Amino acid sequence: MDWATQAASVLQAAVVLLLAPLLAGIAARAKAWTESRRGPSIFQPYRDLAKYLKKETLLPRGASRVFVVAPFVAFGTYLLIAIVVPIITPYPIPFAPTVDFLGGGLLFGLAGIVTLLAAIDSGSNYSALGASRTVSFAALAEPTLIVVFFAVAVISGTNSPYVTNNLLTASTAAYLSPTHLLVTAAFFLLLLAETGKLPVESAGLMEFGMIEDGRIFEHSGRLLGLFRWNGWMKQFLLCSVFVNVFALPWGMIATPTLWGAAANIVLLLAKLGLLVAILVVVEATVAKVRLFKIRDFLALSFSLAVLAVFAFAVLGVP
Amino acid sequence: MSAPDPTFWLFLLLAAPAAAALLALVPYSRVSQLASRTGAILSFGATLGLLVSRTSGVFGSYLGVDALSEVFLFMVTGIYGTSVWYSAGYLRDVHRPFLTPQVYYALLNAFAFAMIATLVVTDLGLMWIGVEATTVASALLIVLERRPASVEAAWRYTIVASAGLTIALFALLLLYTTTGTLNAFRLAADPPVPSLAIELAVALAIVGFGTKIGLFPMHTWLPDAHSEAPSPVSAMFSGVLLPTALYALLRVLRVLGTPMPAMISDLLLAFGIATAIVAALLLQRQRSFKRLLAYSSMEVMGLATVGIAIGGIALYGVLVLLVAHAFAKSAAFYSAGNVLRAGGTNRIAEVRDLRHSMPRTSIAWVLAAVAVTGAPPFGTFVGELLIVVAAISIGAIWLAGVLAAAILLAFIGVNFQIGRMVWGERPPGDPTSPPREVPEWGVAYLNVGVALVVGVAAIPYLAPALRSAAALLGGSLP
Amino acid sequence: MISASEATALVGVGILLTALYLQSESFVDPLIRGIALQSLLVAGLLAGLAWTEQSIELAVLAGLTIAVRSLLIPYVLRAQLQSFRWRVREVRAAHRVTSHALGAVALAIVAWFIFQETLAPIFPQPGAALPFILLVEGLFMLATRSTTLVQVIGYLEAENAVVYAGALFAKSFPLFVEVVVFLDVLGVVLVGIILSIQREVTGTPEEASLSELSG
Repeated sequence: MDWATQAASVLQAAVVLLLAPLLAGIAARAKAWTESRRGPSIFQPYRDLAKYLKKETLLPRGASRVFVVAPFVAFGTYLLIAIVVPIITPYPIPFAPTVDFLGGGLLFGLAGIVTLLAAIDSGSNYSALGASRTVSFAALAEPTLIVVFFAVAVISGTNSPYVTNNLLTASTAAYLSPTHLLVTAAFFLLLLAETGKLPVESAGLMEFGMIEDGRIFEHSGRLLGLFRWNGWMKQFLLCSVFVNVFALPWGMIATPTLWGAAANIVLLLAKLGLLVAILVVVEATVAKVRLFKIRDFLALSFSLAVLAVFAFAVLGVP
Repeated sequence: MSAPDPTFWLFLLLAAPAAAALLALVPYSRVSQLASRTGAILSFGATLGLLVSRTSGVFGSYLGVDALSEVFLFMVTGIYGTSVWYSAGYLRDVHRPFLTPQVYYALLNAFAFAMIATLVVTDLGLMWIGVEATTVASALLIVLERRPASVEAAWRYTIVASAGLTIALFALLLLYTTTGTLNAFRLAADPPVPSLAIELAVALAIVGFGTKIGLFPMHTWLPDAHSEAPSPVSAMFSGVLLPTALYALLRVLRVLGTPMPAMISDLLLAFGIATAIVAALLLQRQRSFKRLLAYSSMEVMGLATVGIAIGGIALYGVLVLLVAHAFAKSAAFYSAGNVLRAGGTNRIAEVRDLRHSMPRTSIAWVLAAVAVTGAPPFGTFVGELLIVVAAISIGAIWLAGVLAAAILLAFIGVNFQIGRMVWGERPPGDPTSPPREVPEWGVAYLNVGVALVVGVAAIPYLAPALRSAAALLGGSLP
Repeated sequence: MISASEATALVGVGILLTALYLQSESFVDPLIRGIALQSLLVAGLLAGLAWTEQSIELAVLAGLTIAVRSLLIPYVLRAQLQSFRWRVREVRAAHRVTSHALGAVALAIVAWFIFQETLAPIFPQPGAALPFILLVEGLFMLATRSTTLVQVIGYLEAENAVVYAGALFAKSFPLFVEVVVFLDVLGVVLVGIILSIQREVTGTPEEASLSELSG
């Protein structure tokens, strides 16, 4: 392990940690713009976070230690993901070999289940409702994620996001292969669902439509702040993986130098900006589907992912 | 005078119904009737010409006949002719918009043309087109009745039949990809090297053409179409359309050479037995007499399929059965049509005591019903007997038992129901007046007569054709 | 640039996607647009093959496919819907989108396994299973849907499958154009005559349940 890649790991974790709220801020601002509002500053999430961390933390009666520990475990999990996937580093960094795509998926699952446990532990009906909704949709979303990773694995013949990234950059044929296009589409739909975007979930104070946010109803103060931060990091990570591995794998500088890293950060922000623009357009044009129809939406995503693997099998080429 | 060239007969065979179909559109119903009758007579005459000259061979790039096609041509043109004759009475009582005699005769001739064309082409692709064309013409004949039930029946018929034929086309694609030709005569003369691909193609063809033959479980269109079609058309459906589809299947089967691979004969056997049993059971609880007759046809098709699977002497039996059944079943439908026209209902429960009200029709009907269900001495009995004997001779006693059970069940079911309509007493105080005899009862006697003669005597020229057709299919002769 | 075979594969998967979409959709109007799109994709495939093979027949087929199955029949079908375009649907299927979508995928996989087990050695080219899968999906649609208009869609899908298969495997299939013309004639007859008479007789394009046809 040379120091340059170690430094790159640390830098990458810092980028995820620090830029995740910014992404959320930009998205909120852009969405407000489509609704003819001025909207909050793009730095509003940072201010929210500072406020949450200063506030008093209240625990529901009967809540156990799980309630308190869960946000920290989830936070740590997302940080771990941040140092194993290619976000600003198209070259393997020291921890990358510890998990492959599937491992990444499992880590996302771990963070989700911990949050879920905290929600159930709170003893509140609203939180439990959020938890049950999350689980019922996760029943379709989680297999989709895993099938998506299988599909990626068949494209590159490995399970490593780094190899996939390099392959897609190098080969137009691989990029335009049905498997890749389908898996990208499936992952995009999954992204909408997992980050609470519109056809699935409308962000705001509508309890009826809440899915993921329902789980953290009972948390307050610092714990709530951590959960919010977790949510932003999850969104940042998923979006980064989407742009860097699936949709726009090009252009990253493959040498671990300071300037390379800086250029990659700028490039990443540009790609994420593009993705945010697309997401905003999606949110502005589609209506929220009924809660029971979300299953159909996820089934579509799952079908596309299965089809991606299937297309590989049928066509014999990625 | 020297005998005309075989190509002349073939030309006449195709041109007569085609010209009749066009001439029938002339806006004088007398002309369309006359044209249709002439077309039918000419095509039947051409068939006789082919039979008498024992023509066998390929003419041009697409036409070809042999004994097998001539046997089927005999059935098709025979029933075509009698149906055209019978249609006059049917049309007299029908007054529906758009169902003018012109349209009706044009479609009827086109229907016959499609079947005849199927029987005289060498190319399996053209044969497929012929079978598909029968669907178009006959579905239109059904839908022109313009009652909700007939529209629905036409719909189910087209959907199911064309779905089946799509599968058959897929089978032909597969066959062509493997063998490089679809010329049935060439493939039969020089069977390709057996391979899994060819067996698969044939299996798909069995399913595909089997839909049109009425094999269970693809038979769902059959009772609907038979019961809702005009009676002369029902007669053509039952008597010759199903055998025409079977003919196409026979041509495909010839690709395999003899004996058939076990997989294919097992498949045919399974389809045949299931069809015969299911039809024999379903016809017990029918409430409409035309549906009853339709299920009886389905049972006969099941028996024929079993016979093809057994091979050997059964093949001869199948051909005799089909010829006798075609004439007998058309006679049954003509009689049923008379009853339907006179009584205005096709419900078995509403028809009683025909013995007194329609004596001539009812006797023909009973005779036809007995004939289609395989009673001696009709040709159907000979055919069914040969199939059962063949089953015993290959050691499949269970099969013979199953076939005998199906035949017996169908016999009881059909004849019991028809017997009730003929001999059953009218309920006392029935306010409706009994139906009156219609003049078109003679055609049924003619056709029953043919079915009888096929059974008891060797018809000159037809009997040798039957034998050589069976030999052509690789069967042994009794 | 991607090669011709890769483009073929891409279009093939597009056709497969439309098939799965058709399975999961219950409203008739989007279904009609879906089948028009599918026919267009098939026509595009045929046109591409016609170009590479320099085959007039395939070009004719492509034109025919666009004219009849992408324009004419969808037009006639939509005319059947009259002013109820936004609401005519398969009522029984409306609440089962998830199971229909997943069922369609499962069906495709089953069809593919059958193909692998039987036909794959004969057709080694990549994507050879796609027409077979399309045929199975189309026939499945025919068998499971009860609305006549939707059955037409299933029929057209099966026909697309046959054309697709013919274009891929049997490029010199004799009379193939004639066969397809024939299928189209049947399609037009089906749609034009039977449906319009049905509408006159029963008043709706929906299936009437008839006791007369039971048993």
